[in-house]
Amino acid sequence: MRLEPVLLVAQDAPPATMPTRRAFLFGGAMFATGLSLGGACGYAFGSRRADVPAPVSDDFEKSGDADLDELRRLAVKAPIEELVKHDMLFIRSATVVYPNDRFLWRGLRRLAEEVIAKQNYPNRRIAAGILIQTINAADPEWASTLSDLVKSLRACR
Amino acid sequence: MPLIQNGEGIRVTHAVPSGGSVTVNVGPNDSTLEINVAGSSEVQVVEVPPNKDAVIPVPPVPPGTILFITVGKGLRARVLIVEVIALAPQGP
Repeated sequence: MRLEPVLLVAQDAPPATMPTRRAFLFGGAMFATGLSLGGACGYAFGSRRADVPAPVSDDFEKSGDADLDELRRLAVKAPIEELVKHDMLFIRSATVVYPNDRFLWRGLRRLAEEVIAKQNYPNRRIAAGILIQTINAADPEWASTLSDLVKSLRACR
Repeated sequence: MPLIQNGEGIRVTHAVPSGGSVTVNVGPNDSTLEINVAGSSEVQVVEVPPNKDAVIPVPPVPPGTILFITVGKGLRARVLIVEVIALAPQGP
């Protein structure tokens, strides 16, 4: 009987992830730094987002007032051409009859943006003037939703 | 001066001097009309006389202010636009 030498290959032991105390301290410091930076950035982003009003759905429930429902449809659902066609009646109704309806204020914003964007808006200077007067006379809560457009409206000729 | 015309059936001067008055000729079915500074919710109601020519004093507003004159109610109302202009300076 003959004995053959057999070599058994053992795997190397995996390198230790934390070979030294210095590495442990360094890793801990990096983790703490990342945590603080991430937290600060997250807080800053979150607090900025909190200042932006939440988006409002275009869907509205029937109010029981057919005129208001039609004006709301014009404001948020109708094509802009249809809203422009009835612009003066819409502005008048939104300011005199239903001055605190958020859907109608969104329609006023659509109109203002259209007046600014379209050089050939019918009677553009007058329409811009009416919208500026509307913003100036409105409750600050609603005026603030259009105040960023005042400068551009003033430039309309 | 071309102005927005949404008020079929009524006639009105389109630019009125500050401190003046505006005459509105309305159809046979309207007994009152309303005037307000565009954008404002304060409305003045004016009776229409039998001859259907309503004379409305222009409210004390600065030149350049735009007024709404409204005849009718609700979405069937007709809205006319009147711009208040400055009086031309009088010569000697």
